[in-house]
Amino acid sequence: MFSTVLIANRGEIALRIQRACREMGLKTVAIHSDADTDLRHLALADRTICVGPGPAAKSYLNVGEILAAAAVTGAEAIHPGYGFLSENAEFAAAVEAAGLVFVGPSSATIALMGDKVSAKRAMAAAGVPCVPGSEGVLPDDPAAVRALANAVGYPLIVKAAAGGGGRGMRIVRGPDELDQAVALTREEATRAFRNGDVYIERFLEHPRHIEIQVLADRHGNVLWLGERDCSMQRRHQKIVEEAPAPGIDPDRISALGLRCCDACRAIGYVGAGTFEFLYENGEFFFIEMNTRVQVEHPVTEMLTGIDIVQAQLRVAMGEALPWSQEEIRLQGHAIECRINAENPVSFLPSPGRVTQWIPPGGPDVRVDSHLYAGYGVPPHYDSLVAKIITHGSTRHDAIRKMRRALSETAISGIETNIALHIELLGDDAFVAGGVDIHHLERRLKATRP
Amino acid sequence: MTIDEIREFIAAAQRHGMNEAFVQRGSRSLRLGGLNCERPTEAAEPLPAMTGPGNPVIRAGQIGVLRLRHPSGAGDPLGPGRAFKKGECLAFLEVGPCLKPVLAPESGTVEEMGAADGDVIGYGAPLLRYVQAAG
Repeated sequence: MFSTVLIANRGEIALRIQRACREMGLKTVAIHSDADTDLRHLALADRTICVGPGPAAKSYLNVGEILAAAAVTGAEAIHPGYGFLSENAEFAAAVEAAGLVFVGPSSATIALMGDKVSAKRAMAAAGVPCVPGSEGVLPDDPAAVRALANAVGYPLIVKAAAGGGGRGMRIVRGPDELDQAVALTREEATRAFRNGDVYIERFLEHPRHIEIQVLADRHGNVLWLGERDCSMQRRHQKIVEEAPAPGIDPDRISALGLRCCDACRAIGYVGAGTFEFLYENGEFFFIEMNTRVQVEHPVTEMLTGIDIVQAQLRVAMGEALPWSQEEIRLQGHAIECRINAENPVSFLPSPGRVTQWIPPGGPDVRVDSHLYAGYGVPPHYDSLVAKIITHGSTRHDAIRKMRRALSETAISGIETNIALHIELLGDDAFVAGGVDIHHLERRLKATRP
Repeated sequence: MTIDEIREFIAAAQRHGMNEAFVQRGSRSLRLGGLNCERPTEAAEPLPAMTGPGNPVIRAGQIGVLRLRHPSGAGDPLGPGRAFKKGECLAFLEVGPCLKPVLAPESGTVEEMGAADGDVIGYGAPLLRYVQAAG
């Protein structure tokens, strides 16, 4: 048990965690950088403490100072949110070593799933479908690499074992490109992740991104809370997420969800997590597991009525999940649009002072945002400033409500991508449902020459 | 608004579970925050006395609990009027068993303290304002 939670994050997710803690009667300690003194959740937290200067490396990624903040304020648990240190196994281990509760899985589990090769091996062993590829890290011998590549088949993709977020990847369309692609990816991976291990997988040309939300407690209970379709992406960053995934047989999703639960039991997973899959030609292929709460978790919350952040905290306290799988009901359809502080055409970040913020409202509209008039969006961090989520009885209904919600949203002082969202909601392929992960890039290329 | 009115207002806000309040009377307005926090929220902005123009300020470079003298009791506790030399250990920031020294960047004399012994100090918090030594 614990009574005080340190929120090791910023922005909308820090506010989301603050709200969950307040509803549960937990005290909060909010950390911040000196460029982030006007964050909304700082005004609501029980205590606040500055951990460093603006650059994230010296503040939100500063393990020593975050642990010091917990020590001097008496925090007993640390919620990492998403991004920053949320999937850093060394940080989780340091939290554990300090005698504090890390709100998430164990450091050993994070390490297992953080390494793409070990994660894929564990998932394959648990019966989760994986993309055909090298069974582990590529050998040094180029002839052996060529033999493996021939067995996997072309096109293929070379990936860094420690990579993520679209970095450390290279597509190879034929044998003549292989040697150079492997060498370059190794070099890039060594520079970016201090780990030059790479592996290969079959490259899927037109996949969709489908993910399964899971919740697991320390008592062996594991639930899956439906899927999300996050195929609308730009440069591997999700823009729009929705659930259920349009056009995919619910029975197939259900079978996949149960496999994910089995995998959680096999690796002793505890907490909220997301299994990410590529879906092409009726088949699912595991790509990675995110061992934390996702940006798009509200989509699932709208469908299930379950507060995932509160569930994370209760699991971390040692409580058992209060639901059985049969009690999980997925009702209607939900869509989330990520509102970023960026130019809708050039996508350049648009930090600055917000002079007006009128969020949308009305039935079935949820807004998760730390914005307020007068708030200064700093230049140091991710540009996400709000998430608008709508829920409808059908997908058509949810889209209609999102159009209405976006049309009444007013933000002045900074540029946002709301215009892009409005454009996408009128896109014929999106409205029909089932676009692949390259759809948005193709559309932008065609409409913004 | 008088001090008593503000006190009464805060008590009413706390009774009703409000965390923030904004009062406007004529051309004057007052914004109150952290009304229902367990302890007062650390000032997001440094203390006014430490932000205005004037003599230089020493700020915390790290997090810790301020200790104005070593736990062994050695040395005089830091306070207004105390002279110090460049590089001298003025105080400590304590985190668990660790004591991190606060060193004087130059010689001078303490003008006023920005924090008290036992205060929880965040990065950048003003510890003291000082008068630089002549020459």
